[in-house]
Amino acid sequence: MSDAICFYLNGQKREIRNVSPTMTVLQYLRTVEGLTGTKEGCAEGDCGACTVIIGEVVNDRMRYRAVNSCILLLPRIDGKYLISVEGVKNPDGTLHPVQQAMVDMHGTQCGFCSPGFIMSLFALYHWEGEEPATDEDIFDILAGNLCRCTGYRPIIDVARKIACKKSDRFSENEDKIVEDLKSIQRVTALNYEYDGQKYFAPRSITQLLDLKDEYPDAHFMAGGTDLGLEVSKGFERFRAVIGLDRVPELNVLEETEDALTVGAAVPYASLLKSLKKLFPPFEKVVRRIGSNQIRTVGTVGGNICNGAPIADSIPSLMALEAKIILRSKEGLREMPVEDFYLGYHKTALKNGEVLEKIIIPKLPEDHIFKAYKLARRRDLDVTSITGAFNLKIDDKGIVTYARFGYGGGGAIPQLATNAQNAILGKPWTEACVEEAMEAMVQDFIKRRPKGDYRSDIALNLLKRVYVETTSPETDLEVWKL
Amino acid sequence: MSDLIKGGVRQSVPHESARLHVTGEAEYVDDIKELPGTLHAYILKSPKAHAKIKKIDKTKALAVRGVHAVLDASDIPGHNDIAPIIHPEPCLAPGEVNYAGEPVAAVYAEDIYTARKAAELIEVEYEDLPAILTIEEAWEQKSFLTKPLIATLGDPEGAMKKAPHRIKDEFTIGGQEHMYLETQAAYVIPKEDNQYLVYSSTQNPSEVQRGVADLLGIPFNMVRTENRRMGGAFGGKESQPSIFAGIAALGAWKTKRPVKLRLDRDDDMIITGKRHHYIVSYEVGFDDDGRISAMDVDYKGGCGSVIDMSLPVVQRTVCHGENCYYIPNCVIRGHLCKTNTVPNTAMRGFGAPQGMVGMEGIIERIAHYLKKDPREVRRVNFYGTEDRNVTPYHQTIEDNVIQEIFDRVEREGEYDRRRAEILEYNKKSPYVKKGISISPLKFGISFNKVNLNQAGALVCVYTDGSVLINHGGTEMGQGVNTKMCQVAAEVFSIDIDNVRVTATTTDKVPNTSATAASTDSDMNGMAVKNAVDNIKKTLTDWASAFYDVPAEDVRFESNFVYIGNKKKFSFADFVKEANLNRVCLFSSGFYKTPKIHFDAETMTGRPFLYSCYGVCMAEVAVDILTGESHVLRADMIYDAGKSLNPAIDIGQVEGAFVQGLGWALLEDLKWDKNGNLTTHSPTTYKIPTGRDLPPIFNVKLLEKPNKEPTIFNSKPTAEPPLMLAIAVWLAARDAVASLADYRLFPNLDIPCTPERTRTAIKDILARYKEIQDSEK
Repeated sequence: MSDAICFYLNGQKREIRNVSPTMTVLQYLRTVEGLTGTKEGCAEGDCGACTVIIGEVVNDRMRYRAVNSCILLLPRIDGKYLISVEGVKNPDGTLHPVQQAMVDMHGTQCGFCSPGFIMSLFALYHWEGEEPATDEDIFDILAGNLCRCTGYRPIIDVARKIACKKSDRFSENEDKIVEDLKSIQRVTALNYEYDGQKYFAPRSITQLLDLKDEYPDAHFMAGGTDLGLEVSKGFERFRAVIGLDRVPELNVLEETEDALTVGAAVPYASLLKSLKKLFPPFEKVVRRIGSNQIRTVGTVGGNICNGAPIADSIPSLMALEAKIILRSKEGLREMPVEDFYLGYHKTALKNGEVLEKIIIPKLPEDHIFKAYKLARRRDLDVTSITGAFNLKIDDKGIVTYARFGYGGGGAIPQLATNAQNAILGKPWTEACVEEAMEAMVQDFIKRRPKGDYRSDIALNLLKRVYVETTSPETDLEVWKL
Repeated sequence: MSDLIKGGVRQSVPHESARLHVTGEAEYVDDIKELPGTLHAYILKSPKAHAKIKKIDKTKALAVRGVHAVLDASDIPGHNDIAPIIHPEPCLAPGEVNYAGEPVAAVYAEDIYTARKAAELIEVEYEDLPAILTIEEAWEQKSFLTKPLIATLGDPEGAMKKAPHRIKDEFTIGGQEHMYLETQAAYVIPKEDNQYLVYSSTQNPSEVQRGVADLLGIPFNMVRTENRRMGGAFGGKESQPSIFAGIAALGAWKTKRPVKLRLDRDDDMIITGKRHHYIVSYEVGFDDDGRISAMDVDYKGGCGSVIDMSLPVVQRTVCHGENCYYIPNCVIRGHLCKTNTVPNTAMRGFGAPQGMVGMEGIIERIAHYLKKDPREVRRVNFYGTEDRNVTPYHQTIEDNVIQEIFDRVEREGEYDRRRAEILEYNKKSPYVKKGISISPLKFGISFNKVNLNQAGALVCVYTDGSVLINHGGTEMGQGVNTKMCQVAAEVFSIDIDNVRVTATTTDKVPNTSATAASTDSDMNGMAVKNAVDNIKKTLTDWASAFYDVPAEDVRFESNFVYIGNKKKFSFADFVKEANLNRVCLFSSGFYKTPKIHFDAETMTGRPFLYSCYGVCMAEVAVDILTGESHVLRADMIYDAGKSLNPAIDIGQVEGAFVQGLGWALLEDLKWDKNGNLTTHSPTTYKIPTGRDLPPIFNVKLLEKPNKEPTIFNSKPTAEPPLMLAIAVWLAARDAVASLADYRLFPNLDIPCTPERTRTAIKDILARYKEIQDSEK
């Protein structure tokens, strides 16, 4: 007997048994609930018109995050507090402060993107950060919402006005909401089935491996920000999906004396704080992975296991000598992250095996670490080149350690070993850096013609590291101006 | 104007649908509650750029459970023609496909999943034909859709020979995808007696009505098209919606069921046309001051496989190919290059942006040649006010304010100080270079095609004093409905809360022109005003006779109607009283733009009633190592006449500028070698996000009344301010020029993506090195 998918929608409890588990939340809202305020603009998480809020209880308080409903499968919101744009207005018909500000400050034109913006602004209104939201935070939170009419200025003004206010009926009724939500929390695995399609949300890694054993063709889904596209755009109807998001072992986030351990299902949004503390340049790169909505659900584990050459988190993990732990019924395997990549979208993951966690050693104090993502657009864009640089320069100015991780330059993310070797043991001078850049051509030559844009800027990133470390007063990034 | 009523003209009232927008209650075509039995259509697209269709086998698709019909061109009962201008242009490919993505057939099924899966089962046999994919190939092979459009003034050939300096060159201008957030959508409901109700996301309901009627072979009066609002359009829903409403209507005709067709984003981007890309080839002659004496320009537009809107688009390019400058001797030719690519279409600016980019590109080249600040070259060439004011199409410019705006932006944006600072900065900063530019725009208002310059409205007053406006314009976010409410409120002198606008529908106001060419508030505003004036006149005549007061003593003021000193009614009581006395409370209104005429053969006349002007100063920083750019500051003043609604107009200017910024810096359309668009979703095609707008962003309106008697002496915003962003392109190029100490002209055309910018950087550095080496 199948479980029901149980959640709150705009304050009302829902128990769903009769829809496909590969139905997206967007399809559900529009077709089952008849709530058409949430829009499809692209069906791939790139425009934000479909943004909804997912509320969860964290330390007995509500935490509201924005997500793309177009690529989120319905079983994912089991146990959550879903808010669509229809649920924002007050029951007496008055507007929520975020909505009122958008009206008063002329934040809408055609209105099609507006519901999505309202939801992102709602998340900003209930900002979870400890510090007040900065302009950078505001741009981050709005980067996943495209508007083609307004040019954004009025919306950004609204965002500045309403950020972190937390004074609405949701905050007033928080205790009740927490209580409601706690009442539907599941202790055992979700086993959902409809019309021959199955969705499982196991609650332990043992259950997870058993399920994979039983359904070898089942798809693992971490954040689902890629797999969701196969449903929303590819019209796939998977026979079985195993959600990784509720497995405690995969949700570990732990800082020890010498490393940060990140469970494979930890979403980026939950990871940022630790990264900011330990590896600030890495955090900056992660903040440019997808959008705020994508980072709510997207995971480093998914980024690794997809095996995509453009995976933005991998170059930093490589440069930082991160290790990954794979688990199967046979036991554990450990390998450096770079060994995981065998070819284009081809990884060392065996069937029946799951990525459990990533261990990122802390950076020795005398190391320099830099990481950059380059893309056509600053926000929410596929990387052209992502580079991460871990260096040690001794007190005589000699490079004694060099690890350069790159993504976007070839079929797989890779270390620029020729460049590393060229600079190792050499003085950190412009001439030696240029030699290393010349050597780096060999790191890319098999994959990209000489002079090609990506390899060209890959080389220049090393130059940027050099300038940043030797003349910090020099302007380097136009976005900092 | 009266501030005594709420929401009259000049007031910054919020968008009439703002409340619905933010609550999700605003209804778009895809949100209309579906009737039972509704089918969903999916389009089978051509995978070939150019091929003969040898055979279409629909058997397998038809056999799928839930599929009700599969139609191709041979099933069309009427004419397979949805052309907006030059007939015929097919709705479904008849025997031959002419671009990759062209609709070939459509499946109608009980859900979209089934329709899409069934479409994969349609077997089409193609025989490849040679394809022309680029402007260069079309030019080489003389593949054109029409003869060239040529505007000539003076003696360009003679003047060129005499010119002290001459430059001959060529450059390219990229296209642009509309990326309205709401994709194309239609919902067609069959009614009794073979009639159809067509909900369409369209800027041109009358065009959709015509297209559907022609496809089905029925008279126009059997098709009603309705649109309440669009989720953005930008010209992309001017001609294109007929294809989709047409395909949906064919299914409704065949199956007798309601049919919905909403495109997914990829199909929308693949099937529909875009802003035209161009090659600009020119020769220009000028004196030592940079004053242009002769110009000969060819605008080679990449138009695609059929004309669609290309004829007027290229016409507008030619009519804006001099921008704000007096060119005494010139010939400007527009060429409609025919390629096996998607037929390009209207997009905000409608060819004018490319004309202005061409002209500004030429100005910059002259400035570089003469080692002058481009600003100086602009100044010496500006149209005069008393003389030097005849355009290449022989219209005399009578309302020129460009000098005034230019001076103001230059002064308020502190051009001189900042330019000097930037020169200093660039000397000291090796890896980031800054550039600055100030560029003007002049945009002619009216459709070139004179007959399109007409509009209608139907205004109804109800006995409770509420007012309902129907007009021919469509709402795509630009705020026309809000402005129409303001106009009616102002003329009746009642609060705007009493006024609503209905959906645009072809059975209220027929034979409308597209909401396009930035004319909608001008023309529909006048039509609404005329309708209201008619009602007021009827009411006044009645009251004057009934209460025996002179007509001029019947006054509509601040929600009241005064009958001389005898009586004072609330507006509602007054109209109720009039109704009891059998007085008509509704009227149509009509407007046609005066003074205009244009001969498309000779490309001469007065195509535009007046022009809008604007100036933008932009500062851009370029990362030399990566080619990334960031607009640091933009200052602009735009001439919106006496604005009907400053908040809406400012919003339009800002939005247009950012859209232009996207065109200038980010948006890059790419096709593969077989003519397939490879940038067909927001993953691969990047429009600006909030972070891309300039940190310092000063937008002002000129607030000077239109000399022409337009609606409350306003001017439109809509399209023209997009061209303010030309300054962004020029500033980015100025930054790159600094790498060669401004001695070389950078090869950097629109769009200045990081990759193209970095390529230009490497190119200029290499050329500069050669010069320096040779000088050693």
